[in-house]
Amino acid sequence: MMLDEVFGEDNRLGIINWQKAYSPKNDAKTVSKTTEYVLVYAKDRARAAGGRLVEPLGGGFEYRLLTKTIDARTVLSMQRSELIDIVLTSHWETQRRSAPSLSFFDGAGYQYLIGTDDAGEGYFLIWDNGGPVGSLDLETYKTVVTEGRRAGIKPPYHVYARYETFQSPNVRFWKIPDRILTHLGLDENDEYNSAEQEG
Amino acid sequence: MDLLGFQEKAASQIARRFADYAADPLMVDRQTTVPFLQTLVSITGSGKTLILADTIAQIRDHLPIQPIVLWISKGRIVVSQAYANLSSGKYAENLPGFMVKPLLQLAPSDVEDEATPLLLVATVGKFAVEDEEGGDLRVFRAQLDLASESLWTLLAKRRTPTGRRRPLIVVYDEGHNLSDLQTRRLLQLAPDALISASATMALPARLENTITRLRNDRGWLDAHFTTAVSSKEVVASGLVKERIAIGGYVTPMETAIDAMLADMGDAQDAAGKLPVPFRPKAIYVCSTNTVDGVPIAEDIKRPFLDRQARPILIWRHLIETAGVDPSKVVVYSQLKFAPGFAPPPSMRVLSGGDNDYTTFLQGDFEHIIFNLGLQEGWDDPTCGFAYIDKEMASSRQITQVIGRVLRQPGAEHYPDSALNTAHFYIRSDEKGVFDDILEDICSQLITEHPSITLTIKKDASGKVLEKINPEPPRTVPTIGILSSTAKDPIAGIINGIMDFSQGGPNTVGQGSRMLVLQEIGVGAEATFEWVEVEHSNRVTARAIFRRELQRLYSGALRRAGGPINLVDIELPKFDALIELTSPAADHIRAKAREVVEAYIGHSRIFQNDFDAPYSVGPVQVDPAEAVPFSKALHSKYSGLNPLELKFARALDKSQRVWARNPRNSGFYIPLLDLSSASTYWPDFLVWVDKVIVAIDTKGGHLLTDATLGKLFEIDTLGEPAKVVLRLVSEGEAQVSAGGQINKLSSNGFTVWSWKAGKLHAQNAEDEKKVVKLALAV
Repeated sequence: MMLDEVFGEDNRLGIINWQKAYSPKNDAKTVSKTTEYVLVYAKDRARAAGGRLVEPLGGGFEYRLLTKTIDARTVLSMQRSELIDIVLTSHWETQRRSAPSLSFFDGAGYQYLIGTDDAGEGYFLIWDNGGPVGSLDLETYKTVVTEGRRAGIKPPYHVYARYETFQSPNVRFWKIPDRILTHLGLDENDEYNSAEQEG
Repeated sequence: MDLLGFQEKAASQIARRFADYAADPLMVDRQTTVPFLQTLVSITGSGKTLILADTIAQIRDHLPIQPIVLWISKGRIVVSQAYANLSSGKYAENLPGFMVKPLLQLAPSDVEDEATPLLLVATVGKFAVEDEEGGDLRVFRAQLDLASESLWTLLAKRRTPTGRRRPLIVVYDEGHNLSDLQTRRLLQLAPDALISASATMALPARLENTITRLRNDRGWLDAHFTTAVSSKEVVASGLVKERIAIGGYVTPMETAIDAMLADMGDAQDAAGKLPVPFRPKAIYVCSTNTVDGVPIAEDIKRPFLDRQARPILIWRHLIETAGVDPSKVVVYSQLKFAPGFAPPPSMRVLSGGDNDYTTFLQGDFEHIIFNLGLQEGWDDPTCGFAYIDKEMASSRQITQVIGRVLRQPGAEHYPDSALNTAHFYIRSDEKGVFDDILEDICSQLITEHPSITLTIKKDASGKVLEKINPEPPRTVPTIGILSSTAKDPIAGIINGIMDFSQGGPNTVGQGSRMLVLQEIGVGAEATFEWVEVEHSNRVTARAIFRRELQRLYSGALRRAGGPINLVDIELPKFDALIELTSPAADHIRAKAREVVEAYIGHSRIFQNDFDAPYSVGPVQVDPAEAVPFSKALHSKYSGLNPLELKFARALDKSQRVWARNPRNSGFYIPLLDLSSASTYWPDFLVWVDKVIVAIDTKGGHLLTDATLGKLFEIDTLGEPAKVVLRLVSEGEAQVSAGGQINKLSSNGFTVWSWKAGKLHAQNAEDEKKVVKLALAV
């Protein structure tokens, strides 16, 4: 199914998430749910994205099977490179007829710009220096516009960030972590936080 | 997919009406309720499927047990699209937790699984058969190995292992197709609700009995049976085109098509320059195998060049004369060719009807020649042009075709209004006949699409609308929203939200007992009784909170967003499962309102000097009624109302450069306001030295608003202020020291501005004085 697509495209990263059980029972207090996902990395991509060392398999791919419960906390504690992977592979825009396939933006020195889609629209991930996911505010927006211009990308800009305190008609905003959880298949009546991790 | 404000309102209204009714329904007999009836009246392109999906999700939240939904449509393609969209496509997230299946794949275990809401998709062909016993064999045959009882009985009983009957909601998309026979079959299932959606209100006679019961025994009035979506809001949201232009051509086919191709070329240029470019498409509606003017079939045993069938003549004109690339053209109809007389290899003919639909979509053709057989399901928004051949030109057929070209590409109106227009080129031989048809269409359109501007030219030869470019080009900075100071107050409110994840009495619904049909006893002894169930299906606090935010303020700047993007909606306490009518849910909704109020109270609009400014685009005018101006950016305008025309003339005399600002596609100001639409379009833009004055002549209604300052006070980010707003209302009025507005007389006008944080009124006896006051900056 989706693997075909993944293997068909060079250096493209794919994500497969298992259909999770859904049962909002009236009697059960909590429903234990697991989402498993497989990340497929291309060698160059992973290097460029996070500078991680990845052992190449034949054909330049490495496969990692991560079996963990994806929840809000997991997303918020992700490293930038992990978050880039997950944004690029899970991005799903319901207004469109098909999922745009995002590709990693090939170019060094960008703080926020992470990828482009088939139509050439740019995707940005706001990230505080060394810190967690940031906000789209006046300052970070300036950088988005500057990087967009430098990369020759026209608005609308797709921006992934934690908060949006600066609204421009040129921005399509994707909130972290909710949008990512939705893209991974969680719906409104699913728990965003797994019971096991609550302490 | 996020709902727009009007969509959310419609869905909530239907769900709430259903919940009220279902708590205390009328009965047919001891076991059968009179179904809840509702028609969603909403124009093509307004997102009916999305509204219906959300309605169902909300109805589920009100119910005591998980419902079964039967979702039916007329055509096979409409149904398969609905299935794709609802099960895994764009609307899947609007049906949280639902299992979506084709009706034919229904298994008894699906009905018995009372923990999962179920949605079954079917075409009417699957059940609308006259003979119930002999019946639709395909349905039963397909299920023999799975079902011990027939599918139909299974649905009628819909019993859970604990003996309860699950609620059945029947949804009929495009409900005007509902026939008496289908209605009778549906009523045999004893549904709890029948919800249909249509562009016009139409219910089959078979429902007369149900309607009478609801009228007589429940006091329902006409308005109780329908939930209407305002066409005005649909147009304003950008989902549909804002104008329909119809040209009647008493000329040969070639002339009409050439006029269309010329307009289409302009539109393609404009669409190609957009940030997200697209290619506008055209459809050609004509008869298939007959010759012009002769109702008999054409002799097909003739060489291609001798053929007279309309699709062939149109195709040849496109390829041979107009130079269109043949790979962009398709004939999608059952055009016949005799053996040995094949068409040229470059001609694409799809004659397989539904079976060729996928091939048709994949071809992404720009010129589509078809008879009216093209499926209702085809609703490509990039299709904005239609040529209609004379035999096909009846008002009924044309209004059908209009539905195909009404959707707006990108769900956004563009500065070049040619892209916001549905263009029609209708060819006829006799002028008299033609005038009648056009009048019919006109009256029909005004009823169905009251908010869409209609331009009709009865004896067109060239273009119907004249395009006027702005001269010279001018720009205005866009206006954005800053809400960084709202972040902390909102975090404080979120912090004050109680955690209901431990359950408890506050999460249980109050006063919302619903009746469920329960089997008591076993075997032959079994009887059925209605039992009261206090609990309803539980929902996350997150879903309740998000929906309430959406309902109160669905976001400015013509898109969803706003307050929700400042909330830590992922917090574990939003995972709490609660009932809709519980005190917990009330608490969550109250907090959502506080968040919206804090957002509005602390946010500011500002002049955005970072982004590319709005540049005034071309306008399309109706040459017949256009008025020339000398100082305007466009040499003429049409469609001004008498008051606007007065001001336009006065502005023109002021010697300032000005432009009429088109509603829905021009310059706009986001409104931070709970009570009205979230985008504001001033009527006129006037350039006064380095400042642009935005003047609105219909702003009187805004003056009562407490948040008026949010509209007038446009912050800047260090740059000098360039945009100034002036409202004009009819009649003389004054503002008291306490901010009260007192009307003095109904003569003259009042010019409203903002000075030192306060509303300021100046009276003017005529429009000349108004312009003078408004431009004094």
